[in-house]
Amino acid sequence: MGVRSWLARRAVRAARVLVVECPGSWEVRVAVERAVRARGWRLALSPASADVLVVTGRADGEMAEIVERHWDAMPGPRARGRAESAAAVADVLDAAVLDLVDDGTQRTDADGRSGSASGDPARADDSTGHGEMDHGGMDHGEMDMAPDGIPLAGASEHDRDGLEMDELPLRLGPILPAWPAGLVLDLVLHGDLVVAATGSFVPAGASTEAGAALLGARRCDDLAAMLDLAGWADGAARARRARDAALDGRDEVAATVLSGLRRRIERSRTMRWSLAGAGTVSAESAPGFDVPDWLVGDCRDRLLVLVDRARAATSNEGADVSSAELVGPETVAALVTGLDVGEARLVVASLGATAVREVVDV
Amino acid sequence: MSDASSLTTVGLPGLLLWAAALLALAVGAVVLDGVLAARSEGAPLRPSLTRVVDETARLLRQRRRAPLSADTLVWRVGSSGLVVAALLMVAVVPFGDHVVSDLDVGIVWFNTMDVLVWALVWLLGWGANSAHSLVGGYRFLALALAYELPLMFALVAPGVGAASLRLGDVAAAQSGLWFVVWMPVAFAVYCLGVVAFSVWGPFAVPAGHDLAGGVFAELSGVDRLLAQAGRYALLAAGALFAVPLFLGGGAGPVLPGWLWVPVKAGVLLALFVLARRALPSVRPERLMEVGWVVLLPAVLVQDLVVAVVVAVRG
Repeated sequence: MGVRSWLARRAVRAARVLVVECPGSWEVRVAVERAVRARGWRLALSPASADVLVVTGRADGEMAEIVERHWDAMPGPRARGRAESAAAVADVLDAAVLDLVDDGTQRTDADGRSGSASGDPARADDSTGHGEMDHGGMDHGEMDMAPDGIPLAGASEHDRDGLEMDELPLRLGPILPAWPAGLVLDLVLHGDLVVAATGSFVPAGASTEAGAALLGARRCDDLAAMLDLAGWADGAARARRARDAALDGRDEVAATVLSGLRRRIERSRTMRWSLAGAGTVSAESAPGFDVPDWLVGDCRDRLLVLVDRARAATSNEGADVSSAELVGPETVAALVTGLDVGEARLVVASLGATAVREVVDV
Repeated sequence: MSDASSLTTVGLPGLLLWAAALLALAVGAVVLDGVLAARSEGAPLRPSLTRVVDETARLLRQRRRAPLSADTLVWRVGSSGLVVAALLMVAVVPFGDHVVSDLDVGIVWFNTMDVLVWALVWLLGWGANSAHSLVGGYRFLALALAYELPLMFALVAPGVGAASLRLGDVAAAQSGLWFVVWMPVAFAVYCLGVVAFSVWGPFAVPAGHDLAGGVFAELSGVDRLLAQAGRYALLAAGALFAVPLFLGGGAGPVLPGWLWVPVKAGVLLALFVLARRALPSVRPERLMEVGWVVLLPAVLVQDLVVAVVVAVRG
């Protein structure tokens, strides 16, 4: 009692939640986001800053291992839960609160993991402490200089300008805010420049199919993710409001919000200036891929495409994702090669998570 | 020059009061930011009013965890240093007739502290041994390269205008006309610099959403608390420093001089907070272009104008 429990009770009011969206569980993820916001909590950007881990949908196989690594990277006090349906979300969060305030549970949890926090060679191979930076899937068998199991940045084969650059492997996804569920991009970086990339989906059945009724909301969510990455917090909040309205069946509200948003984006000089030239795609950008018209241009052009798609999808029911829109992981990888990490993230978001799928009909 | 101002030096014990003022402003900024965020997201407002307390409790309760092979010494120097830099900045700011340390090179002192922030944020990015943090560190240096030179020349203008680098003199020299009125370019560039070195608003890309928090991504527990506090403290310190530099110091009707200083700083700080929600991020390479091609020449012309005016007035 006393200070300890007071601290615990205050602390849970500001809880931060890391949401892991398994492919196919978009609706549940959004339900978690809405519940988190309604409680006055916040979403966490990284495992190190999170108190609660919520997995939506089913995480099996490789995805389950990745979730485990993220769980290990959370500092504690920590709680976890899994929500398979939107209806279960409230219970999962309530249970998390009880876990978090219970000092006994937390102490047991902390005792159980002592010694495994860092430097344990048995865990070296999955680089426990690395959050999003996940070397686990990388092939670094032949590197003998690997303190704590982390390969040192190696000399590069991609020598652009005669400067000897170290190269650094970075895996983006599958657990990352504002990121298509299940997508993984393995990047090779020079500084923060992507010199090589391969794309894939975490094997877990990347079925991102959703009912046509949800399409409007999904498009709004894609837009919100893009605006988050563009750093416009107010715009992202508006897009989420449109998303929630569409989910609740108030399409006319969504339409009003979206048309206001479209106007603001079009007029904003700062937006134009900041995004102009970012991630410009031309017909030659992705070899072996027939670049559709909507993809050509910079991130601002595609941001407007995202708004228009959201408006179209919220206004007429039943419209489905056209095949010309779909982009496969390998194409995503080709599009981000040569960009810096920030631009790469913008490009991925500018495609729209709805459009990034496993199979592409070219 | 030295008789232009007659400040009472309160010394180190007084630093506690200055720290309290800085803390009050920083807390105000956190609350305002939280309320604005809640309002635009349609979230309940009440939790954002007590969030400072709740978040502090949360981070004090949270264990500090370091990533594998993190350079913890360097990393923690980075996370704890930001608050110190902010406090040292305000130590030379006079509240009315009182000041902690009446440095005769106060403006240069401020500049030194803001360059110290370069090192601190970079160490924060480097020490975590994580790719996202490291890229955040790179981004900060790229931004810093763009804003620092214009900021330095913006600091020159009030110094030239008052013919002194001592803050008391600079404030006293504005008894006729505030410097913000006839040095608007220097003031604007100064504000931009403050927002940028606080990793705030449009210049928050080193801690960006796209890097899962960037330089702050791996911080937890008390380390995160200090780093976040440092960020708000820097923003508040920048607003406080602007008062003697551009906003007439403690001059104002009714209220005593020592109270006018935090009031003016509070208004400026609120503007900084508002700007964050309204503006999108600026990518570092875009700022480089503007920083050196537009801002630097503009602020140099400002310095020239100030110098000519001072020379003509004798």
